[in-house]
Parts: sequence; C-alpha cells; structure tokens
Amino acid sequence: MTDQRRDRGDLPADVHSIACARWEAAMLEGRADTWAREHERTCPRCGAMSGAHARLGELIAQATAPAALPSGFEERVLARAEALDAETEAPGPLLAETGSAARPRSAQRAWTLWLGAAAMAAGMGLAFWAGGLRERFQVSPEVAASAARPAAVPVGEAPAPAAVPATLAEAPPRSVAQPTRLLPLPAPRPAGEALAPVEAPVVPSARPVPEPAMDLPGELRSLLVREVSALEGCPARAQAPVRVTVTVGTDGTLSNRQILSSADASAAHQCVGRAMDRLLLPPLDQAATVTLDVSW
Amino acid sequence: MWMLLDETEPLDSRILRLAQAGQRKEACRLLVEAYGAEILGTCINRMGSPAGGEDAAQDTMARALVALENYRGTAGLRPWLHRIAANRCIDLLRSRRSRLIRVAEQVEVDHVAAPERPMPVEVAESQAARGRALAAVRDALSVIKEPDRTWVELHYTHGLSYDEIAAEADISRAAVKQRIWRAVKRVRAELGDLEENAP
Repeated sequence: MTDQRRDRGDLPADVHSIACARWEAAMLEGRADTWAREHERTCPRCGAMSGAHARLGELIAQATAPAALPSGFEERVLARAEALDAETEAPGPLLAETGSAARPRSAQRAWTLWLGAAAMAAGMGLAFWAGGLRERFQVSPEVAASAARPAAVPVGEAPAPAAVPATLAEAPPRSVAQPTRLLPLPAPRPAGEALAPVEAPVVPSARPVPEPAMDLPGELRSLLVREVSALEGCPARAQAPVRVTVTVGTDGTLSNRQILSSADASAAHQCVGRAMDRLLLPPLDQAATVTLDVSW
Repeated sequence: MWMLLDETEPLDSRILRLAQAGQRKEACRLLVEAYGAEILGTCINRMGSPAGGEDAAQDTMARALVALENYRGTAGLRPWLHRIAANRCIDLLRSRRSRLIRVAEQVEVDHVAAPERPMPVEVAESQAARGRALAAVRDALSVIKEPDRTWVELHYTHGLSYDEIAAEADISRAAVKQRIWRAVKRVRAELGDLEENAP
C-alpha cells in the first residue's frame, strides 16, 4: 500500500498516515534518512509540507535580509568600543556594569541614596524633637518638688543649697543636659526617721544648642518685597529682578548699599531703594554682606 | 606596527589575529565589512526601527570588538556575533519597553525601496503585498524564543549549516535541526495561510 493510498480524509487533519507521522517525527528529530527522503518524494502531503517549509525559509531570508550600512558606522563602532574600554577601566562597580543593566542599577543606587538621606534627615528631626521633649520633661514633678523643698538635714545643720533648678524656668534657656538622664525618685521614708542629707545630683554642664541659621538674604528679600508693595507709585510687577548688595550691621543698619537693575526696570530700582530706606532690621550677632535678587 | 596579511587566511582568523595584536582599527574595518550589514539587518528586525537597530548593531559590534581581544572560541565569528546581537536586542528592548513605540508600518516602508517613477497599480499592489508578507514573517519570528530564532536566521538567511550552528551552540546536529524545524513550524502556524498567498 503506497502512502498516497493511505492519504485518506478520515484521518486527523494533522496526521494523514502513520508514514506521514513517522516522516514528521523524523524531521522533528533531525533525521533526514533515505526512508524519509523517499516518503517526502512520494507523499503529496509531506512533499507539500516540505515545500512550504522551504518557501517559508525563503520568506524568512527576505524578511531578515542584511541592511545597508549607514555612513560613519565603522567610526561609531570604534568610538563605542573605546567608551566600553574606558568604562571597564573605571574603578568600582562600573567594572561589572555594562549594558542596559547599568542604568537601572545606578538609578536604583540614586534612589537608595535619596531614601537613605531622607531617613537620616527624618531620624535627626526625630532625635531633635525627642531631645526637646526630654528637655521639657526631664525633671519629673516629684523630683522637682523635692528639689524645691529645702534639703532635709539633721537638726542643727544649715540646709545645703539646692543644686538642681526646681523648675524649668530656672534652667538656662535652650540648653540640653549632656548626657541626659532621668533623676531618681526619692524612696518612701519611714515615719520618724532622721533625714539623711540629700546628695546633690550631678548634672553635667549644659551645652548650648546653636541658634538655627538665619536665611538673611531670604528674610531681607521678603521684607523688601513687603515694603515695596506698601509704597505708593511702585509698579505692581517688576519687569526684571533688581540685584541688591548690602551690608547688615550688628545693630541692624544697612550700609554699603548697591542696587543694580536693567534699564527698563528703573521704577523698580527706585522702589527698592526707597524700601531699603524704610527697612528696620533687628540687631544681628555679626555683620554680614549679602547679595540678593528682588522681584515681585 | 605593520603586519603581513595573508590573503588566503580565513577572514575570521584574520580579524581575530588583528584584534589580538592590538590593531583594533583594522580589525573593526574587517569585522564591519564582513558582518556589519547582516548584524544591522538582524538588529533592525528585532528592535522594530532603523534607529534602534543601528544603535543595537553598533553596540553589538563594539562589544564584539572588545571581546575579540580575549576570544577563545573555536566556531566561526558569525554565530557568535548573532548571539551577541540577539542578547543586546533583548536587553535594549527590555530596558526600553516602556517607551518603545513600535511603528511596524515605518519599518515596512523602510524596507521597500521608493520607486523612481510612478509604477503601475498592479506592481505597487504587489510590492505592498510583499511588504505586508515580510512584516508578517518578522512578527511571526518574534514569537520564537532564543536561541532558536537566531538559529533559524543563521540557517535560512545566512546559510549556516546545521553542523556549524551545532558547533557554536555546542549541542548535537540533530538537536539543532529539530529545534529549527519546530521553530519554522511555529512560524507557519503564526502566519496561517499567508505563506500560501505569498508573492
């Protein structure tokens, strides 16, 4: 019985005969032996399939044909190879990071850094806040009351002066005890027992907390804008920023004034000058010369 | 430094020798001359745009050029280069997936040469049908996983034998043939009856 005669329509669409199935299996397994080649030649179905594969091969060849090289391609390849060399020679993690993975990883690193910085800032803020709270609640009311009482002494001895300030009002302002620790509560005393002298708790010297840095240019800019807006005859909007350089003295006076502006902003220029005349600044710890751009 | 060039020396060996002797410029020239166009074609098809394809092809060739200095492979450079190209395209597509706008029509137009003078309607229709068929084949190929897709291209487009592919992939010839056959069958299934009507 030939393969053609077995090629009946009552078999499954994909397998027309045992021989065809065997041929396909041979193809799938990469066995193009004599029998398979003979079957391919005599079986219309398998011959057609083989032909279709060959035609598809031609289509694949056309679809994935080489492309014409653009001019300068070779130079760009060389330049990129040099860049890869430089990347490989760079120390540190760059050595292992070539290709597409480098960008996401560096982005990830940047994110990690940002997150770390944010966490650190949050931690510092929390520590500051907690420090402030601790400072406020350092001395429990019982301890404060006992400290306010005259120290208990045996009869006949002069009372020792209290070493701990009774209230926070007596403590130096804006200072934090270093290191801080809670003062112990006095133990309950049996009735009638003579009082032992209270040892003055050792309070380490307080370290002043620095004043927060003042944004002098920012303060000055907002003051000037406020003054300008209150002045009569000043334009509602400055055409261009007016540059001001001024020295603020320890007594709050402004000296060495220099006002610069573009020609079309002369009205704004004069207004800034007038605003500076009216400006009253609080005394500063030290004199400072600042330069700022004022615009409104 | 001047080196004697043996004209009968196989091209791959010559490229390798030049690269390993530090003559990168000359090695680059030969490498681009021999394989640049096919790597560019492969990359354009995989990336879906000429610009993306050129970028990937340049990157592939540059990486190959650097790696050639320490290359110890025994198979030819072609399958090795195609493997690098396939990997680079996968990487680049992965990293650009969010912003890649694949304009299939654009690719199709780029592959069909613009006529110099008005062509008859039937010729224009035939060219357009051919362009569509080729674009469909490219799309169908994109469902084939690596390295099978590279092997299909190496076999059908660049004429590599099963033995050459097997040597590079370090697997048996039968396994290569089986996987290529399966891949082509899959492409046929993806295409449906398109190939029957192909020009």
